[in-house]
Formats: sequence, C-alpha cells, structure tokens
Amino acid sequence: MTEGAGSPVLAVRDLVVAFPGGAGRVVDSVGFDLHPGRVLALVGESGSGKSLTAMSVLGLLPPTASVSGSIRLEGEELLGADRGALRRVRGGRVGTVFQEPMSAFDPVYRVGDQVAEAIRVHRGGRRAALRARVAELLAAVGLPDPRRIAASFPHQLSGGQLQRAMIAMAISNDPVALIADEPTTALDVTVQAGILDLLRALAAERGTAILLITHDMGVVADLADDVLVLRRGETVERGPVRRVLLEPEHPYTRELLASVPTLVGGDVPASAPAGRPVAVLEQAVVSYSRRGRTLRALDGVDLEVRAGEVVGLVGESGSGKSTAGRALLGLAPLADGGASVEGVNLRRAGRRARREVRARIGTVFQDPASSLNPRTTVGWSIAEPLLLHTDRSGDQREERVAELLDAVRLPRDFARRYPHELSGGQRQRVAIARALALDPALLIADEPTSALDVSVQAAVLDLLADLQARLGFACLLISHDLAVVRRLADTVVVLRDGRVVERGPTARVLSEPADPYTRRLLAAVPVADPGLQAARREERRALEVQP
Amino acid sequence: MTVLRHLRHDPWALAGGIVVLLFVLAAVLAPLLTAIPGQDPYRYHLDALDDSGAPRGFGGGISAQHWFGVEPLSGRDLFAIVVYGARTSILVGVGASAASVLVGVAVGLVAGYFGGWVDRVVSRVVDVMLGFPSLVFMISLTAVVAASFPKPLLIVLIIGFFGWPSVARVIRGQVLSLRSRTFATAAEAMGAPAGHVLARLLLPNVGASIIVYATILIPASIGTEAALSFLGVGVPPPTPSWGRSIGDAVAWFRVDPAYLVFPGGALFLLTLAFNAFGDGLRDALDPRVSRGRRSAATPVVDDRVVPNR
Repeated sequence: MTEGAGSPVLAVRDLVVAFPGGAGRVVDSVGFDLHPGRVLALVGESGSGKSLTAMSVLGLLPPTASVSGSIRLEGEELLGADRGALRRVRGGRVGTVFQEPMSAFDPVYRVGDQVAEAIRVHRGGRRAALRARVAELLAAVGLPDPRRIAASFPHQLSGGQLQRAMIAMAISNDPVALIADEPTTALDVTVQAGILDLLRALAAERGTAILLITHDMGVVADLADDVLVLRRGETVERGPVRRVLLEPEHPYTRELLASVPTLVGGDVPASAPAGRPVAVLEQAVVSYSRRGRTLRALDGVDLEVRAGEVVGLVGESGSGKSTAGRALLGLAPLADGGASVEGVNLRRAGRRARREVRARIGTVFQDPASSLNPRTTVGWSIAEPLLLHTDRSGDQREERVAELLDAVRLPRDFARRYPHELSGGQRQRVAIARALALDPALLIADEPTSALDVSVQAAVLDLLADLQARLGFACLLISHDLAVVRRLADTVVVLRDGRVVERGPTARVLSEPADPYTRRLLAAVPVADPGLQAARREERRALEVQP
Repeated sequence: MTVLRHLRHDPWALAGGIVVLLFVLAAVLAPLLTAIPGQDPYRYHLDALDDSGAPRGFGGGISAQHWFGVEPLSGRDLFAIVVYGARTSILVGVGASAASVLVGVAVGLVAGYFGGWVDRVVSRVVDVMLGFPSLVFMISLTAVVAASFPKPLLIVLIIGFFGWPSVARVIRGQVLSLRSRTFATAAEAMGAPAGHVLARLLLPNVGASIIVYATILIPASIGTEAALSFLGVGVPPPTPSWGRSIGDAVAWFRVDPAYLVFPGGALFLLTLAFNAFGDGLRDALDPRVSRGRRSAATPVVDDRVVPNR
C-alpha cells in the first residue's frame, strides 16, 4: 500500500470488534489506509469479519458490539463520534452500496425520489434543482433514459439497473470514500461486469476511494488495487493485488485461491462413455401466466441426460434453467412437448406413476439452510425418502443413514443433530446424502454450491464428482457459474430466455464457444489473475461493441 | 427446555403462569376448598340477609363462614360461587379454544397447502365469518336450539365455531410461507404425498404458533362466555358463572359493591394472567425474539448479522 499518494482518506488502526459472550473478538486488530482514487478489497469467507469492519466505519454495528481502535476519515476520528457527526458521514462523505439492490430500495417510493431524498437530507435544495441533479447522477452511472428510471418504482427495474441507481445514490453527495459491500454478488455475470466497470471509472475519474468487500477473487482481480485478506477477524495477508493473487505468501491465501473454480487451466473432465438416456426433455414448453400475460420459462427445450454423464445446464437468472429441473421432477407442468424420466412419460403419467418416478430422482437445492426441515434431526431428513418409498424398518433405515453419512464424509453421530447445529457445507452434504438415499438414477443439483464459501464449495464439488464416478448416476447440474460447471460436467447446455443457444462437450463449449451469447457470458466471468483479467476485459469490450 | 428457561426470566409471564395454575387448582379442588368453611354454591342462607335482601355486615357479609360474603336475595356463599364459577369459565374457555384451534389449524393447513380454489373458498368463508356480528348470532342460536341440548356444550360449540376463522387465517399465512421453503419443495421432489408434507413437515413447524394462539384464545373465550352469561343466555342457573354473577351484581352495586368485586376481580385476574402467560410464551417460542435477546450473550459470528441489506 505504498503506492497511494498523499494522505489517506480513511485510516483504520487496531480495529477490534467484540461481542460479549463466547464469540469474543470477531474483528481483531485490523488496520488499513484507503487512498483517493484507489480500490482496497477486503477479502474473506463468511465469518471473516469483513462486513463488520466496513460497518464499523459507518457506526452501524449492532448495539451489543464493543469497538476499540481508531477510524479516521480525513483526519477526523469516527469512533465515539456523536450521532450527528456520524449521520453527516453516512451518505455524505462516505457512500455505501449494498449487496441486494432489490431490498436496498424502499418498494413504495419512486427510485428518483429516493435518490433525491439522499441529497436533500445532506444538502437541501429545491425540487427542480434536485430533479435535475438526480437525472444527471443517473446518467453518470450509465443508465439510459434517466427520467424514466427516476419515475420508476424499484420493482419495475432490473437488478443491474437498481444497483446502478444505488451507486448514483451513494455518489450523490460527492463522497470521498465509497463502501461497496458485495456489490455484484446478487447479479448475473454479464451485469456484474458492467457494474465493476462503473466502479472502476468512479475511482479513476472522480478520485473516489473505494473499500470493496467481496468473497470473489475474480472481482478482486478485476477491480482492486490493494488487497487485505481476512480470516476469523484477523489480517492474514495484505499487499498490492498482483502480488497477493499471483504470489500469495500465506498458506490460507494460497488455499483460498486454489479452491476458486477456474475457467482457464486445470483439468476438464474427460467425457464419460454415455449410457442409456435417463432423463429427456423434448421440445418442452413451460409457461406461466402473470397478470394476464403468458411468459414462457421454457420455450421448446431439448435436453438429454444419459446414465453416467454430468450435464451442466448454464444460464443467467430468468433463463429457465431451474424450470428445466422442475419439469423433470413433474413440479412444473409442461404446456407442450414431452418429458420423460427412466422411460416414464411425465405428461401422461398419473399421480402415482409420477410419485414413483420421483423416487428415482435425487435433488440437491441451492440453499442448504432451508432445504432441511428445521424441526427434525438430520438423520430423519436423510431417512425421509426411505420412509416414503420403502418399507424398511427403523433399524434398517438407521443403518442406511449411517452408510450415507459415511458416503458424504460426515461423522455418523451427525444423524442425531439438528440442521442449525451444522455449518452450510455440512448441511449441503446432508442434502446430498438425502438425495442419494434411494440410489437414484438421476441427480438434479440446482446451484448446489452457490450459497457456500469457495473453500467449502470446492470440497462439495469434489464430493459430488467422486460420488458420481462411484455410483454412476446421471447428473443434471444447474448453475449460473461456468467455472463450477466446467469442473464437473461432461456436456454443457447454455440456456437463454428459455431456449437452448448452444450445447456440446464442456471442453469445446467453454474454450471455443460458437454462439455470441456464450462468448459474452464467458468473457464476463472475472478470473483471479489481474493481468489476465485486464486482457479479458478488453476482449469483453470488443464483444460488446459487436452487435 | 430453552422455552422454560426463557419463561423463568420473564417475571410477567411467570406471574401469569402461576396465577393460571392457581385458578386451575382452585377449579379442580373446588369441593375441597369450599368444604373448609363448610359451604357449597347452592345452599340458601336467608339469615345472612336483611329485610331488603341485602347481605348483613361488612363487605357484603364477609365472615368466617362466608369468606367473600353472600349473594344478595338468596344468601348463597359467594366464595363457593366464585370457586365453582372458575370451573365453568375454564372448562368453557379451554373447550371452546380447543375446538377453534382444531378446526382452524386443519382448515388453515389445507387452505395454505393446496392453494388454488380451495384457498379461495376458505379465505372468503373466513372473511365472512370474521365480518359476522357474532354476538347477535350467538344469542339467537342459544334461543333457537332445543332446550334438551346440554347448554354448556352448546356454549362451547358456539364460541368455538366463531373462534376458528382467526386461527385458520394465521396458520394459512404461515403455511404459505413454509410451503415455499426449500425443504417442502424437497419433500415434494422426492415424491412425498400431501399427507406426509402436511403432518410431518408443516404441522411441526406451525406448532409453536398453535400453542401461543391457544393461550391467547382461552381468555377471549372466557370473556365471551362471561358476556353471554351476563346477557342471560349463557350457562343456565343455578350453575355458578362469573358472567351471570357480574350481571346480577350490577343492579346491586350501590347497596353491595363487594358482590361485583369478587367475580369481576376473578374474571379480570384470570384473563389478564392468561394473556400475560401467552405473551411470554410467544416470546419464548418465537426464534426471532429469542435470538434478539440471546444476541446479548452469544452473537452469531457471521457477517450477515449486521443489518447490511
């Protein structure tokens, strides 16, 4: 952090955040300088204290937290400052961008009014002047037709548009520093790329100092100048981004980087010899009607998953990828076309036959926190399919649960625990054990790792790959993350707006994509190498210029 | 266990629980209790009254034999009436609440889980029931039903009948949000029939709200029973009932205020205690409230604890 010229905008020294009771220090002696026009990334997994560090700058910690150390904004001490001073800082000299643009805006007010309100509380001003300033800001963050955007309610805008409006609000009072807490985590990659470009431009053109909080090494490589790696509240490593990402010194940083699934280098699974088709969609159409309009979530999709192969179904939000999985489960009824699993035609099958088909399918969902019944033990959850579809006795079920826990590498006594006593990764292993309880012919994994930390994600992906190789089930892997798909899938199918835009062997599709959309999707994924990422950025821009 | 621990640290709920327990004990042990001074709620003591029919002596005739004094006109022992009246109140209150909860939970589960036209029909019925002038309807029902039908059972059924819609509405709302949680989808994805999802997944998850709702419904039902008896259409005399005593006492208030104080005080105390206990129970069972309180002791070490969204 020697490159930063002049005095820092924000200087944090020996910051300690502690909660009374067992948790102790959740942020322990963290210190950093934030310089004008530079981006400092606080990187860490959940529980690392990165968000708490950022929130303590704004004085927004829970009242039970005790904070010590020093936080100076342009020389003025913020720790222990009175409410009035803190309020002037928040939204005034320090702007904030949150993770979920959808919930960061109040749904009952127009977006323009909310941005105007942010200016008014700090500077006042007449209506007309405010309106002009809002339009100017919305244009500055790259929103086309700012007047229409200003007059819209949050639900009428997309996530990317809202995040841009959020950034407009954050810079509305020309802050010296911007705190961006996982600003792109809730967004699609192609949208993320645009937001990162915008933040980079803000730092370069306005000289705003940016404190970036993220778990994503790709985002770090794309945007940050300096990096601070945190683990359990402690600083593990710090330095310029190139040094930290390319020559990490601390084993934890190395481990973190190694577990990031990558789009370049490494092995791509060799295509397995495909067996009989287990799950088939033929010209499948699923439609929803909302307020009189009919939306096609799937619009003539062909899909085949054969025994022993992993098919990666890729797409951004709204592409219909999850609907395809639900169609195979019979949870989303087809409006047209056909769906069959294990030779059973789901459209013609009765209630009973459909239920029997579901016994041949295991499902793993995205959010392990809510996919297990909170009121029952883990053992009960794993045994649930056995209870439903077999007449095994209690002892036999217990035996099978123990086997399954072994298979997902969890201790057998976990069967007696409740979901809230487990970590996210452990819960996802339990969900996998449950999915495998009946030796399914098909496993549908819908974003199985996107709610997990990277290091946990890697282990869960390895487990899935290993189990698939051993048990030979057909697997439909649904994900927005191309790197995750690359790690596991033999074949990739790319969906966009309910249609297949490209399909083929993973190695071919991800290295020589034929479809322009696939190319843009691939180019938008940031990689954890600053030099390489800069080159990719240029490539992506070139793609965007093309029609 | 954590629920008990939580209740222990909530003095208001604890006091409520104890008072409820005392009333229940008094109701169960009514014959024994009234045997101590040698009283029962049916015997007339005309010698305790003066010529106008008002009780002789201080506080409506409080004495070693008549702890709460006696009833005007009849001279029946007021302590016995209050203690036996607790039986009526608690029996009707608990019975009616049980009926409301039973029907309400069943209807709410089914409406929330199946949705579609089932839900639409149920929701409209609930709307109509909640908008209904129920007191008028209750009064006319008690008049219409054949006299041979046991009156206390009729009261229980009538109050229960008008209690279920609010329960159904609450449970339906909870089931709607539970149904969209992934574990319910997961069960469906593994081919679970509706019965399994309803009984094994949804019911346990609404269990806490059922208990809480019941404890809040009981005082309301007790109040309704008292209101009906006050209006003279409740439990028929000579069965003791607080509501009827209160109704009678209003006419005697100038001459004998103690006659109103004892049954009125008992009704007030019991409903207050039930409400306080129910409130504390809700806090103890609500994971959000208990987490809020627990955060003082053991915060979750997770970035997401911070209100950052």
